[in-house]
Amino acid sequence: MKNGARMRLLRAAFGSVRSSVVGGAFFWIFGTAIALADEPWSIQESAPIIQTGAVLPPNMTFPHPVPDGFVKTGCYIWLMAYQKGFGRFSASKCPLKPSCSNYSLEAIAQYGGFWGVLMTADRLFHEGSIRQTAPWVRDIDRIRFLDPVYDNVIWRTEP
Amino acid sequence: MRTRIRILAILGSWALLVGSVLGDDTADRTVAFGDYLFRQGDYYRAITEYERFLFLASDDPRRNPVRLKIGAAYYRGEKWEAAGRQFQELRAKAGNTESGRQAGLYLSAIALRQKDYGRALNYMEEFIAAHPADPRRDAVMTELILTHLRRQEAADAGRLLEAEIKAGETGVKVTAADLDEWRDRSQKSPRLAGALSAVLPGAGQGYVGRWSDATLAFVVNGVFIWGTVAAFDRDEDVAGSFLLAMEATWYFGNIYNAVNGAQKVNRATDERFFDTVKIRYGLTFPPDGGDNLIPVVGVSGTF
Repeated sequence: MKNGARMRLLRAAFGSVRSSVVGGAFFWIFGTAIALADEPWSIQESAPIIQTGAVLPPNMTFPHPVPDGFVKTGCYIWLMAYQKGFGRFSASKCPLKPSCSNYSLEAIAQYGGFWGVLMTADRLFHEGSIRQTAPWVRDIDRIRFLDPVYDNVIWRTEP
Repeated sequence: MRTRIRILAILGSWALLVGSVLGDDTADRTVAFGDYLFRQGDYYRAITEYERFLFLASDDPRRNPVRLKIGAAYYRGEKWEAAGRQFQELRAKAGNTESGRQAGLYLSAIALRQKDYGRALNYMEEFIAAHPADPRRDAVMTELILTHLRRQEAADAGRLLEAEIKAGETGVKVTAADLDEWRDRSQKSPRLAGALSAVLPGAGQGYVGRWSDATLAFVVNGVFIWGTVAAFDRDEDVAGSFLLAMEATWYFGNIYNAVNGAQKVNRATDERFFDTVKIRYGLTFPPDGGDNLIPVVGVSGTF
């Protein structure tokens, strides 16, 4: 191959790589921005959007606070290890919202190690049956069943 | 020269006339388009149109009804906080007008949707006290009685209904027979469910009719008990202790699950009761279901 032809080929190859990188970065950033965007919103009866803090009662929140105390912190570390390790392969398959590990984190952080662990065991027992009665919600790209921690607190009273 | 002035005067007056007509028409059309979007369920864009109207018609007397529509769009879009703010402001600004009253009813409805029944009761009681002759008073009283039932306050609901009957108010839809039906509804005992599961894992879940939970609780506890016994039998104390700790979690989790299941079954029974009553009497809340918001666009009187 002559030098000129080789140069043209290399330039074309690098040009396409550069365009791919730039284009990919653009689509990644733009796509992420679209996926994370909250507005504009609309409600479809077939798949209502449940958003954190927007439609749930004030005491039904998904984000779990950072725990304090020895037992809570131990459970927190164990669950975070699960989420960052094995859970990466299985968490996306959890049909419930919040996922079981997030549910556990929230329960332990809110109600302490003893009750949090019991509530986690309860969640694992009722994970199958709750699908028959729980409201289902659209969570970004798929349908999940809503089962917040607050709904499973046995000592709760309606305000 | 005179002809030029005449032409300019005619053109100027036409421009003024067309401008005023177009301006008013634009505001009306904006609300009409907002209503169209509202009916389509596109609440976000409907709010934009209503806000456009508020911007265009800064001193229009129809501003409060349009504000009500904005609140209703937030309500339908399940944006409770934004809807609540809108209705609170409207109620403070126009409490005694029709818009203000509807805002008060919507505030009760938001509290009901958020299951904050205490707050809902306050709003409804305020409405009844402030507007005793309002045509929606009986519908609000009906919802008030049902809200007491939601709080498991059957005695309060009974007292309210009795007072209504004594006062000759016949518009309340809920009857004494409905309250009897509420008292006689089937309820599972969470304590009994928990006790049964403490004796035999899964039994409490079976008692409340959650058979998949019952099977799982029975199998999981059975396997861990068997594993624990087998480990201690083989003098594997470390494995046995670990399995015992795991089994303790499953065992108490099973009791918790039975109690939780009984409560959930009871809540589902209650919801079925309320759904039946609503269908039986065609109840909606707010009383007009939010569909009959004050019409803002009437016949344009400018042309």
